[in-house]
Formats: sequence, C-alpha cells, structure tokens
Amino acid sequence: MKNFYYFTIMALLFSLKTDAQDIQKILVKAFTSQDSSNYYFKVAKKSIKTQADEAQYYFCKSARCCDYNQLDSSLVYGERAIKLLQNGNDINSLLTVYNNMTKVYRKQGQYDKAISYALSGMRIAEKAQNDKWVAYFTDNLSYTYHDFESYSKGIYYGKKALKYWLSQKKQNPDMISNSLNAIAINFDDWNQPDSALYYHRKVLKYYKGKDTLQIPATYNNIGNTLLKQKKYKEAKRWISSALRIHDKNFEDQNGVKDSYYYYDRATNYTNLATIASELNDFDEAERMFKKAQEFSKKSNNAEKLRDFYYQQAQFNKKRNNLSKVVQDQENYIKLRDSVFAVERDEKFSELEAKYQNEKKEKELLRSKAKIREREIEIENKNTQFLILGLISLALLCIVYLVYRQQKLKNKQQEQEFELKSAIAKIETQNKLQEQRLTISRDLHDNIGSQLTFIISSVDNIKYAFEIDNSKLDNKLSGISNFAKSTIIELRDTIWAMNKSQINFEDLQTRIHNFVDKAKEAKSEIEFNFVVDTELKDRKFSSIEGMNIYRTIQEAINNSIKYAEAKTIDIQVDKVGDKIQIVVKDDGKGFDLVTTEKGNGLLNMQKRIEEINGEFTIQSSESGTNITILL
Amino acid sequence: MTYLLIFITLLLSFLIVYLILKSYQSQKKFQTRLTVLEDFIIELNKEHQKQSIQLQLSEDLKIKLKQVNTVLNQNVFELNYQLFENSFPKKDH
Repeated sequence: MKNFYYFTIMALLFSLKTDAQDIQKILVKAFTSQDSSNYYFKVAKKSIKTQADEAQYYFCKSARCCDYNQLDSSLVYGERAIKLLQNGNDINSLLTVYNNMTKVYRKQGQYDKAISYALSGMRIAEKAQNDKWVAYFTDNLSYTYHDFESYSKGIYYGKKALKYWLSQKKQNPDMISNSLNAIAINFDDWNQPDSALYYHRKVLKYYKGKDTLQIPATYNNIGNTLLKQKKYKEAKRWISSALRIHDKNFEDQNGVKDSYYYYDRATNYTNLATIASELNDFDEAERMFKKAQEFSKKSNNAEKLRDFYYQQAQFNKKRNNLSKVVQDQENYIKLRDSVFAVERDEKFSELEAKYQNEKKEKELLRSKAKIREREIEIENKNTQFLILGLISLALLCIVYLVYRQQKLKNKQQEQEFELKSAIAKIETQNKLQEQRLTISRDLHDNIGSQLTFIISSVDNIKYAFEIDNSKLDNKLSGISNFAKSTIIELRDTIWAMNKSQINFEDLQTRIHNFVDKAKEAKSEIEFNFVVDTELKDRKFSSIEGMNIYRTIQEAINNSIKYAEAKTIDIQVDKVGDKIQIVVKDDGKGFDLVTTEKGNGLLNMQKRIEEINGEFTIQSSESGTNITILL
Repeated sequence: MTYLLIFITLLLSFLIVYLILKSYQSQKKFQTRLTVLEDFIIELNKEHQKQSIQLQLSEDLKIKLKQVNTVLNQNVFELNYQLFENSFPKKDH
C-alpha cells in the first residue's frame, strides 16, 4: 500500500503540464528528499506562480507530512489543497488529497472524519466515473471500519473493493492483496480466525519468491491470527519473518523512517511481546513491549497505541504489577473512549446513511435519466420510422414518376412515329398526285394544241376550197365550233385547276363571260344575271367553283337549246348561311314525269350533290326553274 | 441518424419535384413538336386535298374529252361520208 501511495503521488507530479515543470521538479525533490525536504519546499513555495502551482504545493506538503507523521500539519495543508484543487480540473490530485486526509484522520483515531472524507472522495470519484478511485476509497473504508471495530462493515467494503480489483482485465496484485488484507484483518479481529487465514493465504497466491518482500504486513497478520489461535510458536515465526522483511526493506530504501516504518514495527513488536508474554518469557516480553511502546508512540496511530496499552495491561496483570496495569488500562480506556464515543458512532451511521441516501438519490436520478433517455430513444425511433416511411413513399413516388416518364416517352415516340409515318404517306401520295397532275397538264396542253390544229385545219379547208355544198359547210362549221367549245371547256378546267380557291367574284366574271358569249350567239334572248353583293367575298374550292360554273352553264345551254326561251334569269342570293342560285327561263318547259332525264340534267344533279348541295328542278309550260342551294 | 434521414427525405423530395418538372417540360416540348408536326400534316393534307380536287377536275375533263373524242369522230366520219357522197354521186338505175 505504501508503494501504491508513493507511486500515485509521483505519477501525479510527473503528469502535470510542462509550463509548470520547474515547480514540479522541485516538489518531486521535496517529496522524496530525506533531509532537504524543508529546503526544497521553501524553494517550491517561492516558485509558485499560479493557483494550480499553489494547489500542487499544498498537495505535496500534505502528503509529505502524512508520510512522516506530522498529522496536524498534514490536515492543515490538505484542507488548503482541497480548497484550491476544488476550483481546478485536477481530479486525481484532489482525490489523492481526500485519500491522505482519510488516512491521517484514521491514524488519529478520528474515524468519523476519516469516513466523511472517504465518502466525499467517493462521491467525487463516482461523479467523475473514476471506478478505480471508488475502489481505493472503498478499501480505505474497510480499513477505517476495522480500526473502529465495525468488522461487518469492514468486510463488506473490503469484499466490494476486492470484487472490483478482480474484475479488472489487467489485475493489480498490490490492490488485490490490499483488499484481501482488509477483509482478513476484519475477520481476524471479529474472532473468525479461519476466515482470516483463508483470506491471508489468498494473498500469497499473488506473491512468490522475492515478491513476498512486498507483503510483510500479510506475514504479520497471519502471525497475529495464529496468536489468537494460541499457536504461539508458529505465530512468532511469521511475525519474526515480517520484522525481518521490514528491516530488509528499510535497508533497501536507504533507511527512510516514515510513518509506515513506525507503524509496522509497532505492530510487530506488540505482537512479539504478546507472544513472549503468553509463553511466560517475561524478560523478552518486557524488552519487546519497550520497543513496541517506542514505535507505537512514534507511529502516532491511535489504533496501535490502543493495542499496545491493552496488551501491556494484560502482561502486567499476568505479572501482578497492578499499578502498571491500572495505568495501562487508563491509557487504553482513554484512547478507546476517544475513539468509540457514542456520538461518533451515531455520526458514523448518519454519515453513511447520508451517503447511502445520496447514492440512492443519484441512482434514482440516473434511472430517471435512463428512462428519459429511453423515451427520447423511442421518440427518435418513432421519428425515424416516420421518416423512413416518408422515404419509402418518396421512393415509390420516384419509381412511379420514372415509370410514368418512361411510359410517356414511349407513347410520345409512338405518336411521333405515327405522325411521321402519316407525313411520309401523305408526302408519297402527294408526290404521286403531283406526277399524275403533271401528266394531266401535259395531256391538256397536247389536247389544246390538237384542237387548235383541228380548228385551223377546218377553217383553212373552208376558205381554201370555196365549198358550195351547204351540208359539207355545216359539217365543217360544226366541227370547228365543237372544237372551239371544247377548248373553252379545257381552258375553264385548267383555270380551275390552277386555283386552290375560287372566290365568288372570279366565278361571277366567268359566268358573265359565258353569258356574254351566249348573248352573242342568241341575241334574241334576254339574259339577266343578278348577284347578291354580300357574296362577293365568299370563297369556294376549285371543284365547288367548277361544279357551280358547269351547272349554271348546263342550265343556260339547256334553256337556249330546248326551251325556246325569250328571257333567262340567273339570280344568286344569300339565304341564311347558304347560297341559293336560281336559273330560270320562260321557255316551253317539259314534263318532269314523262320526260326521261338526259345526261345534262343528271350531270347537273351529280355535280351539285358532289359538293353537298341541293339540286331542284321545276318545269311547267311557263318555263323551267332550276334551284341550287349550297 | 435522424438528421441523415431528414437529409435523405429532403433530397428525395427535391428529386420528386425535379422529376415532375422534367416530366412537365418534356410534355410541353413534345406538345410543341407535335403541334409543328400536326401543322405540317395539315399543310400536307391541304396540299393533298388541292391535288385531289385538281385530279378530280382532270378526271372530269378526261371523261368530257372522251365524249368530245366520240363526237369529233362522229363528225369527222360524217364529214368524210359527205365528201365521198359529193365526190362519187349515186348512179340512178
């Protein structure tokens, strides 16, 4: 244990930041030096620059005083160190000071304070979640309760600490043996020597050969237990071994006489004196008691002094030295009363109850926090599920959109393809039609020129040969006129073909020309051609225009040829949305029932029906009336 | 985790909006192209119709010319007949 404390303090000093290196070096020297410690502490005090330096100074000073049994000074420096360290972040130093304070108060026999500091340190360690330090303080409590003769609690804490040290992956034999030792001495003083020996011997499992030099206390404690079992010789052998180990260690450590030096020897010599007394070797016992007294006093440890006075009283009683017995008993009772006051016991219980309450409250808070955490976790999970649901929905939407997009694209491509196919088809048809039209045009030109040739040939024959034969002359004139009328018809058709649309004005001009020619041919007939001015802008397709023109032409021709009419009226009016064309003559008419319709009438009807018009014919003795409704 | 999920949700939402917009734009673009093609078809149809009418007129004329041809043949025949009659008068027995 001693080694552990020494190592902890040194490690803490070396682990401090580099900007405070000077004072640390000095403090290390001050802590380790045998003779010049005070000098180095003075130098260190002068080097204090920050609050942290000051805290480290008092921390070292307290530890040093503790080790060298300057218990009051250790307490004063410890309190100062605690005040300064509480403001900083150096938890390890703070916990070390608390540990030292516990040790000092235990030495002084002020167990209530020792326990108070141990519990405070434990709280800080638990808050910092430093389990190692919690275990250190638990060990400390075990020893304190032992000294206070509250062995059940001592065993409880010892076992608790042992459980922690054994649970570590990398086991520390020093700490394990420390806990085992704490449990064993509690059992020992609780008059359960078998259990005590069981735990003592367990320590030996961790130390073999030279390593046993580290556990002289175990040797002594085994001896102590054997002493209680009245196995004096065996006990003496173990305790003597412990003493020899102490002496050897003392030599190896260059004769450092710290608190442990006196404590260990006080224990050993008291035990040896007791054994000598029990074996009735009074001289030896007296000699040993003298040494035990010296070391017990120097150890400044209440427990050691108490044991010493008790055993010496027993020895003097055996020797009937009553005055000394009374004196030793007085000293023993005085120490015992100072340690075991009733109020102190109550305070112990209070402290522990307070600690346990706080612990329970903390546990309650922790469990509440855990419940809250769990609730938050559940809430988070719910939120996450909700979001995951949304994500799934979004993914479905995306899949649907992509699918729809693809489908649409395919549909569009199909539509486009259909349209392009249709275009290609129409274009092909158009090209074909264009070719046919070109051929037709060439044919028309040829026919036109051939007809002109016929007309000129017939006319030439007529004038060149002075034909007297009237029949022949009429025949020639007939052929010439027929060819001329065919040419006119051909021209009319070519006119219509060359126009994509025919407005009524064009049609009107054409009809006028025809009527004029008819007038020339039949001057005795009166022609009246009236057109509604509203129809001026009306447009027709070329086929409509042509069919209307041909029908009117046919109607007029019929009236001229067969009706013997004096007047032919051509009336074009707007009737609602429609056009009404009436060709009327005052000729002899014909019987619609008895007269078979000729090609002319049928053609007229067919042409009008072709352009979705209505064709009606009325005839009587007073004339014929042809009505076209478009 | 929650933030990551929220981020993914937002990302997917943006993706959805982007896809909807893209789909809309694609449709609009296609409509424009379709309109052009339809207009073109209409034009072609008009042209086709015009040509059909012209062909119909031509057909009508063809029929008419056939009739004219028949009439002219008849006339020419009659003229020739008359000429023969005049050149070689009938002998009375």
